Amino acid sequence: MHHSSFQKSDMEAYITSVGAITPQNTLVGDYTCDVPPTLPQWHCIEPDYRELIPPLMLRRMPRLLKLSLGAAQMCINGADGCLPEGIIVGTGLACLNETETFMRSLFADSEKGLSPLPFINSPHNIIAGHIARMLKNHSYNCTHCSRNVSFESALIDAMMLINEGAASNVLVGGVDEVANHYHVLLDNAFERPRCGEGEGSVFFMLSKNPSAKAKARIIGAQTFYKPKGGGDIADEFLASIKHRPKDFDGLLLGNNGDKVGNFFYREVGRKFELNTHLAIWKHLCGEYMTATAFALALAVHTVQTGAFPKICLSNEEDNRPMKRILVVNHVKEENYAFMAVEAIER
Amino acid sequence: MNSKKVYVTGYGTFSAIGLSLDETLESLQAGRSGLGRITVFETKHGDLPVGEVKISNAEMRRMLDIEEGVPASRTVMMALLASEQAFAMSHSTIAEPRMGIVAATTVGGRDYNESDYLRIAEGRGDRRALDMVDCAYLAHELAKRWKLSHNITTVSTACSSAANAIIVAARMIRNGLADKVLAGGADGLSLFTVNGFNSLEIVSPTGCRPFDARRNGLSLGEGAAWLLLEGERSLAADRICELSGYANTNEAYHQTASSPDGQGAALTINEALASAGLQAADISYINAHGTGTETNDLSEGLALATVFGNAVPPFSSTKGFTGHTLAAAGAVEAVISILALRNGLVFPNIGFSEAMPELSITPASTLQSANIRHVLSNSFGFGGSDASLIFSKI
Repeated sequence: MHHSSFQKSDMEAYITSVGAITPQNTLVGDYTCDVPPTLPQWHCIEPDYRELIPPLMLRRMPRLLKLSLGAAQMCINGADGCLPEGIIVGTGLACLNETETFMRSLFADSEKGLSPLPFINSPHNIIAGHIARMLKNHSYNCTHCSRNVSFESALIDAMMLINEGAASNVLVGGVDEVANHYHVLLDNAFERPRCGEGEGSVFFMLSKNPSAKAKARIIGAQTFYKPKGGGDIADEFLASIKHRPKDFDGLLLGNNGDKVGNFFYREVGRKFELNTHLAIWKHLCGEYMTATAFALALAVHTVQTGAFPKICLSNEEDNRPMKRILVVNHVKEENYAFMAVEAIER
Repeated sequence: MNSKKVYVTGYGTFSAIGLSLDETLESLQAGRSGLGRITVFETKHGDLPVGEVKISNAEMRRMLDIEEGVPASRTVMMALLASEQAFAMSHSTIAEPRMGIVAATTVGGRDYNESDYLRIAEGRGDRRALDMVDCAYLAHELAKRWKLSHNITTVSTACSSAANAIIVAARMIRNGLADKVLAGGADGLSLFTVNGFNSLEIVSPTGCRPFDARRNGLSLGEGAAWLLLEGERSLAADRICELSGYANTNEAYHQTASSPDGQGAALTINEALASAGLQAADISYINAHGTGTETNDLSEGLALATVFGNAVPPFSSTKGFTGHTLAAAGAVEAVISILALRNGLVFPNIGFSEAMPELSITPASTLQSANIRHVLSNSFGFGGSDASLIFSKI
């Protein structure tokens, strides 16, 4: 590799709760993932939000916010009363539907007499802001909108907060919904991903210390934008967290059906041992900018149970227990990310 | 962790009051506002006073040598031009520093394609515009220009976005992810933002008057600004000033308004002081958020009184110069704060004439010399996102 941009990262954190509203039965913590696709667009299996969100807030709330606050509250509920000292959200498109509504009325009415509500609902930080209000939480609050690494950027921000001692618990999530108009445009302009366009809202409580409830440990995350060196960035990431390919039992890969895109995953896969389990997940939730939040939830579940759900595996292998998993993702050779998760030995 | 210092080793700005640092300083010293009628951008709201950069998109393309036929967003072009200033100032002293970019924008590349965006669905318009819709587009264009691939992210926290970008960048350095990070933001005028703020009825038809009893709203602006931040691996000779403190807190009060008693903002300022290991009395100048809206100026004024008591240092909002540059504001005003620090100047709060009855303090209305060791810069945004930065002489 020609560049010396090796980061050395000792940052790690425990995942002590997960709240996931996705196209699978994750609402009830079921990761069998046997809900079939509803192509071309996946839709989340949603809860009764009245059980999760205060009624006054729920009135006229855009759907993306319901998805976000719902999963955030589920995560809080599962965290045994520990309150976050940081709220960080990753979202690629936020309330794009609201922005589009505003733009349509802008053109229809020639910039006159516009209702401000869709404009107010457009800023990306609306999600984290609403969560803060719902929890009456004044702590560090940030939103990352970095396209396909929005969630990983939020996760890294959260890990930094814990590493610098600014927080013992951080609520971090990744959320995006299918946007009505945007995807009509995609349909006309480009090929749709074969796995379909997806959506999901997944929140994690990241903690400095393992409680009895801790589900997994995240030992690193890194993002790249159009890096040189192809699959070598996997080596760079592993070196930064002081691990080697043989330390990993499984890879969770972001294949979305795109043949050109698959090349990178094969390159990375070849660096690992033959009996490393190879799994995919986008055939369970579709492609969307924060799909890796779902992947992390799946990885956490997998290291707890020791095995990927059968529906994820792309190779039938031995019964090697899944104790340490690498999540690998890229979209259109532009944004790349890795996340490494391991089981907690008890 | 908190003992690891973060320094500014380069900065740049591009706004209605200057296309360079020299021009910007000159306008600030001369009290020359950049607000005026909209003459470059096409909108039905052209009479609203706005801090518009009087350079057309075509001219910016020429300045950047952008090829005919290559789509270019105004937001991105201003950002590229401002970033060139920052990099020109900063001499890379570390061989192959680990780099990063933390960008902030409301508009992204959408200003290029606003009308196109809806036409594409009907089979017309430039399809390349689709790639320019989201906020990340800005950081990507910067990454391409400066050939960077690591630690590239975009934050979005409304009006405090660029201040938060600077905070995230500083923490990337402190947490060992990067050695040198470009942090800041850009927002060009767009139909979305001009009409959006207008629909909220918080835009002044006559020009913003921060902290004035008869203030009647904000004035929009456009611009871009960047800081280059480095840690202790930087060479002493390259350090311009220190980012000695910062804080990010949330009002958790209302979707758009800040807590009226200023408690939210006071919390942010106090946390920034604590992070810098400073007392209120150490601050010699405050560059306020001061949008000129009824609510912000009241809550911010009360917050200053809460934190500084009887000894509020000279403070001013410079939005009467630049307008409210939205996601870029935190960086544009960080640059202005650094200019104040470096030149020992308190810039005037233009637009002010009559004191607010609720406050016993008034902003600086004329240019003043001051020995400034530490400067505080505030940015308070929709969604309750509050951020404060403190820059200090080395």
